[in-house]
Amino acid sequence: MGHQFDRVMECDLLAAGGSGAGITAAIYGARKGLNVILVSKGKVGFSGNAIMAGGGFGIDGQSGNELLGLKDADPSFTQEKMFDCIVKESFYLADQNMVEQYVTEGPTVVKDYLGWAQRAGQDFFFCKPANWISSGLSFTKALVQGLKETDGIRTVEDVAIVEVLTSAGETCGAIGLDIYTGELILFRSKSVVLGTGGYQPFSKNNTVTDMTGDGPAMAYRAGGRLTDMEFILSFPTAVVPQEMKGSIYPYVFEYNMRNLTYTVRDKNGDPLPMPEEIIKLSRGGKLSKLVASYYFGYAADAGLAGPNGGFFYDYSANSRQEKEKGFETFYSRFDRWHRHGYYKGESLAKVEQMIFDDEPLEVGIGAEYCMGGVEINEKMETGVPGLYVAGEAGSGVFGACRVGDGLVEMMCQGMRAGYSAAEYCESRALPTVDEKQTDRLLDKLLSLFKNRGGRSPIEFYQSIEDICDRGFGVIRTEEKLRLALEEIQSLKAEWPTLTLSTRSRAYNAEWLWALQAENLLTCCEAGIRAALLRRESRGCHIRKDFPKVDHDHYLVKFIHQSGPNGMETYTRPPIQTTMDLPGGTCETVISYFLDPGLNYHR
Amino acid sequence: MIVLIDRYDPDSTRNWTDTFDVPETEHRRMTVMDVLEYITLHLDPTVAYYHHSVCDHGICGRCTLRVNGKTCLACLTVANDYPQLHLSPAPGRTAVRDLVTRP
Repeated sequence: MGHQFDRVMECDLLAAGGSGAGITAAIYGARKGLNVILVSKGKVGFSGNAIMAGGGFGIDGQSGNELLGLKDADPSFTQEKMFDCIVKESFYLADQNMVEQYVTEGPTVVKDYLGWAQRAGQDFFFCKPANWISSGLSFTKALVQGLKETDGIRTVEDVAIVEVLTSAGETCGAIGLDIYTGELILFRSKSVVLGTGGYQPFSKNNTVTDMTGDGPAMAYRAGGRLTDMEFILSFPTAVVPQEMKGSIYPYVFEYNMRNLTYTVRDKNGDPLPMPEEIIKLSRGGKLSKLVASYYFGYAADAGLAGPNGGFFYDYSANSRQEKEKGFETFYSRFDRWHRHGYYKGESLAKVEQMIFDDEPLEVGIGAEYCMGGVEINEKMETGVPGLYVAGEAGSGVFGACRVGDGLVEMMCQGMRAGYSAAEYCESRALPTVDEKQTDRLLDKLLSLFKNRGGRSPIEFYQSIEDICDRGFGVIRTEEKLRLALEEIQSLKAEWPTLTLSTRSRAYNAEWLWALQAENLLTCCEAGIRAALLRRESRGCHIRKDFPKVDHDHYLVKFIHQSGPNGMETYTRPPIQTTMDLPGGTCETVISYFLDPGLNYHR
Repeated sequence: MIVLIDRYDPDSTRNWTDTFDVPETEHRRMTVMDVLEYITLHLDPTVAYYHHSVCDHGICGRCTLRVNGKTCLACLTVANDYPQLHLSPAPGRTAVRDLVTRP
């Protein structure tokens, strides 16, 4: 007790997160006259998962035509069609009010966004119905332009928000950790928007290092609820050359070199048993993420993966000319952002050589995005007055599987969260801070320095990933999930004993990783609990012991909240607005899409 | 592989160089970032390198340091291409801790 903050900062709205959700919340809050502080764990515009994006973003073609005045947009892909696609892709688990917000408010924010992009000199590749292929960094440079054009925002970088503060049940600010200096900052604010991203607990991933579940876990501790935490999206990700592991070039090739065909083979050279009709429906589009996860996952489970855990792409059916044409298309799009011959900062020379030489290219599966997060409504409210969540840290739009755009999700939700915060802050004084709470939290944050003899947080964090790799991966079973939950719970018990060998606060990665580990553990506990209770398969939750999609029993969301005896989990049906929820079952998550009765056409 | 790392402790303002043996490079191709991860995980968790909010693919540019005297990105530099590594902080910036610097 008796610890002090090193600094105090005050504002109306504290927007946390240096990428799409945090930046747009800050911009639209400031436009409504709020005094805003934008806090980023990294450098604004260079942190968060949007910089890793390889696809792009899009809206319905009708809005592209009418609102954005785009002559080339295809108006036959209407808002109604987009809504229909997203709900079906979510395996009907989306909260339909959240999908409506995405579909109707997405075009408004994208219109503003394209203006920022133009003024920032960023060039995207347009394709029908109204999509833009973009590099991640180009995407965030446009966001930074929007920030520059907006008055009333102070930016604080390399500060991690580590706890949301409440007083008498209402939001009153947050605690920040200045990563470089180790100073603890008290942010006093009327409202907080968490746009800090999702969680991914696997060693094989294609994300930045910040997907530690800070936002969901902090909101949970502040009284918010988590949902859909069992659904984590993965897709084909590099495992070779080994120094490029985690690169998304395999997926970007598929998306942009659609003239090339390829067969995916296991370690024995046998093709993975992917039916031609699902390849036709998914390949070259974002649905292929789920399809690849399913077939790669089952084949890996059967012990058929290669030495780097991947499967082998065989391009030998294509002539040299076809391959040249494929790369020509790829570079004609991506040379506007990257050096020729490179994807992001990495040379593609070795990969290109392998494809031209018909050498099988081993490709693995890496985690990208979590559909789950904090339970929010269409105003981005969390149930905790003054606390809003936007982007991947939240949940609701994509249910069990995302095929739509995370980039639009973060921006339209950030915009709405900024507006909601403005409405909330109006005629409200700066709330007082509950000193008992801050004393307790400072004590928790700093007590880690007193520990001796425990494990290093760096090793501890990796053991969370090991547990999730083994028991919470793509293909799940009761037995493995049960063991994973037990192990996660034992790590939770161990957490207070973690020991920092780095004894002082400046750039103390062990300290930061300890705090991140606590957040990741909360997310994992929620995800694994739900995965155990969901005795069916749905979207990215694939149970080997329960392969059927069971609408009759499991068309519900698992909701987690903090109770007196730990995490409490209950269910509710998804929120329905205009689309009826189905009954019955499907044999697998793949046959769900192949059923003509689904009437699915993206 | 022998890896030398220039250390700096901001509290005592002491500078020194530590030497680590990383056998893992015999088994796989590793970037300098992978080597640093290996060291903090298995050998010394106190080695500080730019590790938060990084992309690992040459986009964010935040893991800049010197490898055998040459300024480069830890995430793009392949350790196996060198017989030995000497890692030191990027020049012309304020020292924070070990390999971590700020503008």
